[in-house]
Amino acid sequence: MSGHELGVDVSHSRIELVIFRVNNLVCALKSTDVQEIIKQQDTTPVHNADDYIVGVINLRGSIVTVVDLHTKFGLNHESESGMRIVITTSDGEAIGLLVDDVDDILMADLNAIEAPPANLNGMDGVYFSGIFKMEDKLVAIINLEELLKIGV
Amino acid sequence: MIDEEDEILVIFYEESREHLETFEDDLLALEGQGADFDDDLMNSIFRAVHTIKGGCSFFGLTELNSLSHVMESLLDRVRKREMELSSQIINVLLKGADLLKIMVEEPERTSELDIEPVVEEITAILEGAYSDEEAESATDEVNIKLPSGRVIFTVNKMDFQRARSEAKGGSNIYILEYDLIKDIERKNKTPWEVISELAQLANFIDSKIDFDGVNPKDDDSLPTHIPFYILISTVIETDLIYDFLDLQKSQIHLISETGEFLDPHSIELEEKYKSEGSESSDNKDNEISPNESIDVSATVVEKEQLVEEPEINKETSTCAAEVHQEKKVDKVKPKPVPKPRPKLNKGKGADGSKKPEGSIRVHLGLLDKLMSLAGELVLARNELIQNTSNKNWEAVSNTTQRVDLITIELQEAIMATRMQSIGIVFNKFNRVVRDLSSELNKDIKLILEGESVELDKTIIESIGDPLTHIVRNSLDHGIETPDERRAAGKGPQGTLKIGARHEGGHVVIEIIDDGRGINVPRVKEKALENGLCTEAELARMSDKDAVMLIFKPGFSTAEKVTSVSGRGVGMDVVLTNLNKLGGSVDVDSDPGHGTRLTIKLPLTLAIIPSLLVRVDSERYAIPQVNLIELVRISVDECKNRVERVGNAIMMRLRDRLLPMINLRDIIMSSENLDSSDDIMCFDNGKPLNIAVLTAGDMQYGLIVDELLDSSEIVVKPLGRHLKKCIEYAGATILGDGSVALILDVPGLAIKMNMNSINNDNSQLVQGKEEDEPKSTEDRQTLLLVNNAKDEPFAIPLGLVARIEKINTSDIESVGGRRAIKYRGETLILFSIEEVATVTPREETDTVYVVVFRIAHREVGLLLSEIKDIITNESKVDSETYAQTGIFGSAIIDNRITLIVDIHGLVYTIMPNWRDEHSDSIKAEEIKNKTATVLIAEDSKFFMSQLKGFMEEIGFKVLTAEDGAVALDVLNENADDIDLVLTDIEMPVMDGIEFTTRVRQDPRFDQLPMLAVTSVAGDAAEKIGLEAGLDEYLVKLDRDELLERSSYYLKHGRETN
Repeated sequence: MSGHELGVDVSHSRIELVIFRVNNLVCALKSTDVQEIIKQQDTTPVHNADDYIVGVINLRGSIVTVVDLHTKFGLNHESESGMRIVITTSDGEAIGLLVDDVDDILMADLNAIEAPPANLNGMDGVYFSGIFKMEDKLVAIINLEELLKIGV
Repeated sequence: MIDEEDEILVIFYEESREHLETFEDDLLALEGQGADFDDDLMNSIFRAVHTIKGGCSFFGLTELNSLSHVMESLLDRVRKREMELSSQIINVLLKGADLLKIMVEEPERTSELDIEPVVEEITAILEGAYSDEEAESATDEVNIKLPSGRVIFTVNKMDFQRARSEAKGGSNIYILEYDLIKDIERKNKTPWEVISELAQLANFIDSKIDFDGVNPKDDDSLPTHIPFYILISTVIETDLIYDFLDLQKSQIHLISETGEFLDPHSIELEEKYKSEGSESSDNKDNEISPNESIDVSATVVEKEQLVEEPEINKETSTCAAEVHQEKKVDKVKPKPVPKPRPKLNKGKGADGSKKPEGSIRVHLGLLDKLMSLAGELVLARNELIQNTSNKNWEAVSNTTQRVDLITIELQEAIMATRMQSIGIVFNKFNRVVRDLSSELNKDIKLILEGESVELDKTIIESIGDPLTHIVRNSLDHGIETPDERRAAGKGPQGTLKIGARHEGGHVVIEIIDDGRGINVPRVKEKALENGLCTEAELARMSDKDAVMLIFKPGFSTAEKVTSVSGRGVGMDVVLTNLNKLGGSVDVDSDPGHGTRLTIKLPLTLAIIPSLLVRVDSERYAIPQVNLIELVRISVDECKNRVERVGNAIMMRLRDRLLPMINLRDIIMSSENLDSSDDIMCFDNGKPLNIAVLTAGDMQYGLIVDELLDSSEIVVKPLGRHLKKCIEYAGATILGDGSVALILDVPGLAIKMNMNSINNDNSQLVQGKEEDEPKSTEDRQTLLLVNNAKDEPFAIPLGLVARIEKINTSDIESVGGRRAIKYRGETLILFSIEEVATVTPREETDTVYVVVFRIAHREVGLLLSEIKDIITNESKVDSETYAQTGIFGSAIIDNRITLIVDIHGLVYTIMPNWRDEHSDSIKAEEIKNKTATVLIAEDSKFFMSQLKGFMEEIGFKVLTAEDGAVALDVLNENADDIDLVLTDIEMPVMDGIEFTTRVRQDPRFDQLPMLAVTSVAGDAAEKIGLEAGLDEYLVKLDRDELLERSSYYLKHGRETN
């Protein structure tokens, strides 16, 4: 996986990642994709929407759709509360991702990032753009565009 | 500096746009007035072009300048009545105006435009009108020189002379020498403003920035002087002009007729700057002609260089000359690499199709109001802060109220600034209609209504294109040519009416033409051809739905692709654009008589009043525009007022049955609550709260747990993942910061399949037919009556001759039959219970008699009550309740209603009548062989009736369930079939299409074809007869049917 495909200038050879956890899956987003991280808050459910949509929240006056990464990845919820919402920007729209915990923000060496397998713990590899090998764990870097594609 | 330059240019473009806005309409109005035109109008037209010309010479917009210049000259001639206002002139002026419009609206496109033909056309017209003297002077040029001898302006002599004779102009010609830096920039003006101001008191001829006169050139300071010359003619004499202008005496120079400087100031002034002027003047005489004025990019570049990079001046001693060279280089290259006016390009090009954020003109009064409201708000806020810190809670609540009031007013005022009248959009159709009708050789009158209706600016801006498209379509496809119209029995002049009006928080725009209407079969065929839908889908489609197919992408019915419309892109774009604005479209087409397109638009997009409702812990907002009333039904009332019909729930509301949706159903459907009994918990001892809502022409009740407050909500869009949820129109943030979804009332109805409720009902009774594909409904107009109390009957209205109310005492009994004397004749009376097993009618003082014509006699049917006339759409069940005197049953208003078979009833009682009648028209006796009839009819019920009638008099019957099948059957049995009976509304191929196809085949020239319909109308009949049908008959009128059938069998078609 070259840095180019991640949309990063190779010459810098490092990208900043926001590391978070969804059940037992450790994943990451490029920090440039992340607008902010907020505590889980009361969500207004939107009935009849796709099952991975938790609902909508009020983020300083704009309506933000919240996507449950657990459902999206087919994982169970550890608990119903105390989670975090990672606000990302995709196509000019802010979208929240409901995750368990935000662990860390770190600089990752592009050399330590590998192409994702077609199948990651039973999840479709298409949602990931790479695997970052940390000392003690593997971090799946999320392909935000693919993740938020409609009608998948 | 570039920015500022751009800003001025933008202002110029903006003002020019404003001038052009009314230009076209004024011209058209002028045309209408003919030779005796209104001078004021003429002057305003002239002024528009004149002002534009004034600006572009300054900005160096060559194309704009030369075009506006000739247009101005032409208008000037007309204005002074030196030329007659011909339609040729109007045409060319309109053409010019179009180009001008493009040039000021999309300046970056200027280079694409070819203005030469128009300029030449105008010049030719002008030259034709020149007097000899003028013709001579037309080619002469007057050079206006600075005292140094350098030519500043080269003006066409004729223009120069005319300027002098100008009313506002006059014999005094001045060169005003402004200094761009001192007189204009430091005074916070723009050159454009200066020119506009001057135009008030003088006649503007030309203007120019004199780069050669820029100083200094040989020291390292910034330039302090950039001369900007304006050439004007005015009546104001030398001694007075100083008072009018904000200039030193030394800056105003009087010019002689031959273009010489007359005043002494000029000489001494020029000396100061002329150091290099004299040397360059000789060789530049030719270049600095107005026709080759300075490129704006060069202006900008130069100014930037002069101000920000003075060192360049140092290095090159002839800065101005250098700039000039640069300009020349630009001109030599066909496409200069740094495009002129780069800023503007960027602004418009950046996000493609999106219109640039414009500015808006706000009425000063409104602005003042906004200011004072803002002031009030500040005061209120201060008070609030003070009261809060003093913990004076009572005062806080008072102030809060004030803030609330001010906010409301402020909101209204701000909204008002965004409102514009739709006339802006409408008026341009004058031109569209004028041009198109001449292009298409049609005579079309345009009627505009409701131009003063106001809409949000965003909507106004976006509505133009869709509307234009619709109008073009109407003109091209809808309205016929005068010949066609005459042939169709209409006046040669077609009418297009565009109207706008308010309707409950919406603006409704209607585009109505009286053309040929939409050819539904053609639309269907086309849709099939283009693969937009399958035959099965078409078969299920009502005509109205079929018409809506024109909004599908890739649809175009134009037989031939014209330049006007029918280029493949079309109504789908219109629909998308309107949907984007939150609007909807509806089409009504009356074939042969015209089309009505209705557009419904919200007044504004941002803030709407709404009602908040609650289900469980969730709150939803319902737009107030959709709300009709709120109803609360107590537990006791529930039993009487709420009925369950199959899966649907209906509520009785003032004698009307209203379908209902339980909001809980919708929000719970995702949570697998499938037992409808649980959902519809009427019997849980709680009253029902119902919001009665309207969506288009449909109404329904929405059951919620609680009706909360009304409040103004700010509509916020939902994210892209939620767009597919049609039940929500958006979301809003409530006072406590939580989010509530806004319900989309039409969307909810679609979601809950409200449209199909009627059909569901009939299926409920029929049960067994559920698996069959739904045929088009047995639509017919019925008279609803009661015989016994509360036992409803229906009678096909087509059979009813009239209805009378009589006193029971007038009924006489003659020979065992009841009868009354009526108009000197005896009207024999029957009642349903005589033959059918139904509850007998109770005896009352008065009674209704429905009169029919049967077997050449009038007979009356006694009934206790006449209730209504309805068009029944639901299926007729011809089995369950069929008996003598009863065709069958249908579900009407949720009640099983028996349909009376009046012929069966009468003939059962009077069998000899039938024999008398039938004998006279026996089919075989007419033809000496068994006559064969083909019946095309999609409804099983009617088919069995018709078949029965025809077999009764000896016809052999072939059947077909739609036009396409009928065509096949006809082709197979071409020689045998003597007569065709066809329904009009059928799936796949309707009766009209079927007839048309049959008539195309010469074999069937003489084949009688009769239409059998249940809903007859003159309009429909006319089309049918044109298609080749011989006669229209009412479906269940047995006698008429038999008589006409045998008539045609006997006499054949009346070919005429």
